[in-house]
Amino acid sequence: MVFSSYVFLFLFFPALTILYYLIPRNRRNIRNGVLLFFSILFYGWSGPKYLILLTISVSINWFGGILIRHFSPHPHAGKAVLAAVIFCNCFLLGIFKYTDFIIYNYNILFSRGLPLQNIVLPVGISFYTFQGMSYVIDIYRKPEFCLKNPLEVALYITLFPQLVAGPIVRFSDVAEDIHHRKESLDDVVWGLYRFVFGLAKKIILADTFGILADKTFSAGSLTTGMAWIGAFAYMLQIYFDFSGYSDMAIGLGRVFGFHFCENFNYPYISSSVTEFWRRWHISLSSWFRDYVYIPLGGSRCGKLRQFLNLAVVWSLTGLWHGASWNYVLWGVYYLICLTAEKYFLHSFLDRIPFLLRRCCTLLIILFGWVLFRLESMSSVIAYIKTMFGLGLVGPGTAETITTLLNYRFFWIAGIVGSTPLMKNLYRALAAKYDSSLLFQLLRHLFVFSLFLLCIVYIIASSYNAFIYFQF
Amino acid sequence: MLSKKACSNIAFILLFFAVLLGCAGVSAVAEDQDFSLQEGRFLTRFPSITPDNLADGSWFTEFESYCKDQFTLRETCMERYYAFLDLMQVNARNGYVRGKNNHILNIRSFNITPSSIASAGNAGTAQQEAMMKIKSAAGEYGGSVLYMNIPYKMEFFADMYPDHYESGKEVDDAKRAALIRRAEEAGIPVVETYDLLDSHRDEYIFFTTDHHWTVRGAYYGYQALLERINSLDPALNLQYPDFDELNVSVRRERMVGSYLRKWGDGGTICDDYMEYAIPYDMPRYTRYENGEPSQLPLLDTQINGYSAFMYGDYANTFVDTDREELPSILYVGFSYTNPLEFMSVYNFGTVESLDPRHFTGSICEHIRKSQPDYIVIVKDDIYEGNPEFSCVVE
Repeated sequence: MVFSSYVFLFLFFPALTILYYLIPRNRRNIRNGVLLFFSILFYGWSGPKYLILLTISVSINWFGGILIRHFSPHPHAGKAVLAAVIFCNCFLLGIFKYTDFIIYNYNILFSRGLPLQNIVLPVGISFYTFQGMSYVIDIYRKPEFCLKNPLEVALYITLFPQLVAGPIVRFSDVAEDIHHRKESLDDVVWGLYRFVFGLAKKIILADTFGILADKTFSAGSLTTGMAWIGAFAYMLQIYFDFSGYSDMAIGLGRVFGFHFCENFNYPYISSSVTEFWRRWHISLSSWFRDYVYIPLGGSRCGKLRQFLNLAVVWSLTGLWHGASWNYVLWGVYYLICLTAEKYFLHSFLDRIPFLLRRCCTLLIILFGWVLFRLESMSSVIAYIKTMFGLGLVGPGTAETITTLLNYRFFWIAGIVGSTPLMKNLYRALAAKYDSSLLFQLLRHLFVFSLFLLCIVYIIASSYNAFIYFQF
Repeated sequence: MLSKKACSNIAFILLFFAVLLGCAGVSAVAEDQDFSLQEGRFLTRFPSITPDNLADGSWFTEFESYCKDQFTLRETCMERYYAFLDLMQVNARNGYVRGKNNHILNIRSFNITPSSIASAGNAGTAQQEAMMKIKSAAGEYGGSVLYMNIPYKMEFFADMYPDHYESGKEVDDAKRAALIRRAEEAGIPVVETYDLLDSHRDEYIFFTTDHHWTVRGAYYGYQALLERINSLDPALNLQYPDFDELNVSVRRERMVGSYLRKWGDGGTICDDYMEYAIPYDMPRYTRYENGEPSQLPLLDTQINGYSAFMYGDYANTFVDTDREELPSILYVGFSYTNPLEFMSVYNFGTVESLDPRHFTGSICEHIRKSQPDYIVIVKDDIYEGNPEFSCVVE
């Protein structure tokens, strides 16, 4: 099930919301139970057999938390349990995600012919596995937060808004909400607003740019102009797809009283690659920072060790995105960019004009997405060569112009939507008119109209899965 | 007492969920629809439940398709979606573009080079081989073969492509000239329709949302054919009534053309009427399909679409007017022959057609058997090895 599907929007979400709010507020456990039931239903909709794996993951992490708390007076034992639980989580993830990758590379390395297992990747396994590890690590750091009730651990890990595509919610961020959240009318409206905006980003913008990106990346021969169009289209597609989904998840969480952290902060306005990774997929980058980079020593050690720590983090970041060398290379690409920024280019970057810095950063991100999108290095090299006029076909000026003109309003919306311009404009208006009933009604009307447009798109457009579902 | 803000918030929430539940509820109780005229496909029905499709999750995917297909306001949503795209001026979609004359046209390749123009100029060898085989078969009993060159709509409206779009005019002109040259080299008279159609360019001669010509376009094409046949045998002097002398009726109803299904309907492009033009003194006839008597009409004014002509495409249609003194004619071609067949019933003793997409067998063998006086090869589709063929030429 996805948030933009008919079943979720017209059946699941209304049924859950009505049932949830029919339960008295002081019956927190029953409300949590309803959320848990619907979350399991949500996940099982994509294939009931994957519920078994989810159950195993939840059980491992719940039991691991219990043991860690039990052994908290004995640090070594507690650490051993933590290591074992993390190993189990990584093992589960590894089996389903990296088995064929390992077999493939083993065959190449040792000239063997072991058959690939073609294991189907369960939806969201990368997300909920990391959430499970987040739980046990946070329990290790603060054993008093251990949840004795396995259903509460299940609720934390399986909560449907963030189960299949994030954001990766830290246990410490929602521990309080599980027991003591306060739902309010303002939160429900805020949540619905956020959900509608996320849905619009995904359905209207991401899917439109996806059509353009798919057309160019699958083309047999490509002109220079269309190669740039395709790259920019993919850059916008992946942003609106993923940030739109995060918006929906955050909005849905708020409807039920949960306060998830922001996952995107207008990453394309960054003036450095370092800043980009503070704005893009914040939950993942901060997860790796807090649970891998800092425990390894972070920047509190020599330069060589720091570089090695960064190398580990960025290799894992790449590998998390997919079991393929292009993702690892994508991670290494950013490792090189970040290291260069930090150690060699820092003073130089401070001297160049701000706008030029932003443009250069955007170009670096753009090429990173080309590397991310294409699975083979030869394809990446050929694509980038085409972008610089070294392809077999010419500039393709006419086709580029027609593609830009045909989707001009979407391009404008995409560029504006990638910046905080509309948000700042709204804030300026709200600061002046928020107390006005007319302003509130106009706001409701705008969001409701956008909602109706999304319904039109959902019914009329063909089904399209989220990009990040493969992770 | 609730504040105004709280009241407006409650109203918003209620409206939000009322829309969702209302639509879902009405869809659930409404009768399931079978077919979508706009899309030309059967809609998904409620999927059967089996342990296997539940376990592997495929039932849930089919259920999603079922819900979307049977959504009660589905057609409205489709219309609003394309209307939104029209509002956003997305003038090119799914391989088609809106022309300056508001016709839907195929998007041509942007990679037209001198070599592709030269290649088009050398086209037609396969078509020529087929023509020569057919001519040879006809020559065995004294039949005459003609080649009828009809421009594609995108070729005819080459100058109507929006700025920066490739019209492909040079390629089309080169290919058309090449096909005509191949026919002439094979000693086959050519019926060139482009000039006559061009002289009536401002009339409604091609459908806006379909790739076919209208009854007017076909009428001018048929006039060109008669003129060529008469030039080969002046004694025949075949005449078809002027268009103004025909019984012309108009159906003022939006037509869903072949291009519209892919373009999508936002309402700003449409064929909002269809003409039917029948001679007042149309002869009596008997129709046969694949040798069997058929009650299908030659022109059905109740059908709002190109399939009104001859009721669509069939493998082998034979129409007998029981006038042995008049010559017989056989059309070999795809759907562009349909209105020509209808009009030919007025002038010819028997009218026959072979549609190679549905006809199985040998075209030349069939010609030897039926021995029509005139064989008209229509457009550039007739060549051995055409992937759309179900038959062979020889």
